[in-house]
Amino acid sequence: MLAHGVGTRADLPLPTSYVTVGAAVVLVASFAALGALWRSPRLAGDEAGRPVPAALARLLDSSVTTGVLRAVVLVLSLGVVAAAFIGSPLLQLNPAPWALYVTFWVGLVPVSLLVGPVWARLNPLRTLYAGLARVTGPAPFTHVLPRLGLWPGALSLLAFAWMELAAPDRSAPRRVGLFLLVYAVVQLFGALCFGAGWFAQGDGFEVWSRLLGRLAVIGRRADRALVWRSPLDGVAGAPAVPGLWAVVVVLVGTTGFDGVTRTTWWQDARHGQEGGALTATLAMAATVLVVAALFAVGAGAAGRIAGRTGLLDRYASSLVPIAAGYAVTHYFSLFLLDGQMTWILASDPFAQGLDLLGTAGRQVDYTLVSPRVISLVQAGAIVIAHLVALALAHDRALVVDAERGGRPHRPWVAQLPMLVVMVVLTSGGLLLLLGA
Amino acid sequence: MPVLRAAAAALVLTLVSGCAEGDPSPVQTPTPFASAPASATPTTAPTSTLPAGVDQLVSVEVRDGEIVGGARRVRVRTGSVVRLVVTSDVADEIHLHTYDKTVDVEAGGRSVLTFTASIPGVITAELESRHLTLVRFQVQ
Repeated sequence: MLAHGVGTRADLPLPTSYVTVGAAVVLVASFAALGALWRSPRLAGDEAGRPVPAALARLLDSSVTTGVLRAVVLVLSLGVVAAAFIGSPLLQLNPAPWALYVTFWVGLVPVSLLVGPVWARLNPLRTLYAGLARVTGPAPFTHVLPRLGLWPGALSLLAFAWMELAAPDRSAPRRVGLFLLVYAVVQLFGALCFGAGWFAQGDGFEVWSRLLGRLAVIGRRADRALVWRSPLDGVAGAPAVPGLWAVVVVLVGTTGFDGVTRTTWWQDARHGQEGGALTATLAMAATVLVVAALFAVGAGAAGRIAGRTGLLDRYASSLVPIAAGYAVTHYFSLFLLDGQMTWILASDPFAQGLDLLGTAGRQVDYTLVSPRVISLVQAGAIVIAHLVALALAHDRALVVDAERGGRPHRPWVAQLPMLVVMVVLTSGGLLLLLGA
Repeated sequence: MPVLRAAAAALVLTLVSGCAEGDPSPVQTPTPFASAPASATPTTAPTSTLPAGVDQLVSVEVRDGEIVGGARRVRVRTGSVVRLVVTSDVADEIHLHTYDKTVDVEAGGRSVLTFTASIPGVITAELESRHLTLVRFQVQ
């Protein structure tokens, strides 16, 4: 059984020494954070940031830049769907599954982390909807949208994860085409009902890109100015929209499930049999539920200490770095190695013997990154994510504690529950890599 | 506190030696690199019977469409020449992923696939049409 949608190789188990050192850093930093970090809320969220040079801001915000990029992305997206349906029916000869599962889904992570919520700007579904809306006129239910929160986005991410990790024949080009078509129709229908604002809440890809983009060093301040800012401020500025916690839990849970399927423990239990989609579906649901329960208990306990309820979405943003860390850790090598397939196959997208890019017939260079580099990135990403999450959760606990009024708790009391959640998630992630 | 200092020294030593070895985690059925295998893995032939130019021999038997003993993970040293021998009572295609090598096996037949383990990672050999994992090579 091949793990994620299309990958054919898996990373080596993480060396024990990397796991030991990683876990040691995580534990020491966690306990140090209890006492040593700042004592009153410090993160300014969307108020923070230093404006980027005016010329750069003009270039980035120009409608020409946006228009050109949107046109390119729309054409590429239509090309992927076309290749999925009329290209070769074989995974090894069709670029579409590789483009979706590796280049787009995994590539979205580094690009969003570096330059911000790109998919919000380039989303081809938004482009299509803009065209549609000229005919259909304004959407009828825009007033309902705020109440939906990010729940539709969490659902669409879950649907994609199921397609990628559990669905039968998930890497077959025609299935990929069908998925993309259904996804686009559902999203466009959502937008026709709720307006263009739907995509920011209902399109899982855009939701994910927006969350990751908050970790970028460039962002938009509350006054709409493009600014350089600390990733900590970026994430702290993420509004506690209803369902944010579900989005984060789905991302961590499904990536965690992908990690589980790569462990010798899981593979031995399967005795080499290609598991039915049902087993994979149930196991994926179980992993997501475990992460959800862990988070709900942690955030619930933190809320009780603060004497408040309904704080799930307030604490959720501190898990965004962990979701990003999981993604980098699990998909780094897939992106650089198997990701080459997209460019090789895109040279002849419809299997007609073309060589548009001059890359047709090339082999993937699996020695592009060494196992040592892969291990370092894996351990590094998961540990750095933990440290960033730690600082965020610390500040968030102080904010909630300050809102409570009365005499402040000692900081460590307020942040203890979320600290435990993060240590469990991080060490769990390291253990999955150890058992890979 | 000499006790504490000794403990700290031991910890540092452990970490340092751990780093130096790059110490991989245990594998279900560890097969020693290219040398004589442990007696617990009877399907791997002793060094003395290795064919010329082959560093490691791995045998898998498929009976009633199942892997006898389940799909194992076999450790292979990068750069060594590995020979996979598949005995099967069903006809199918043996596919070594990533290296992308294939060979057919007939019902009641025996097929051999030899490759140089040049790509590190965990790589799967499958009975292609059944999506049945034969063995995983942990190349490192």
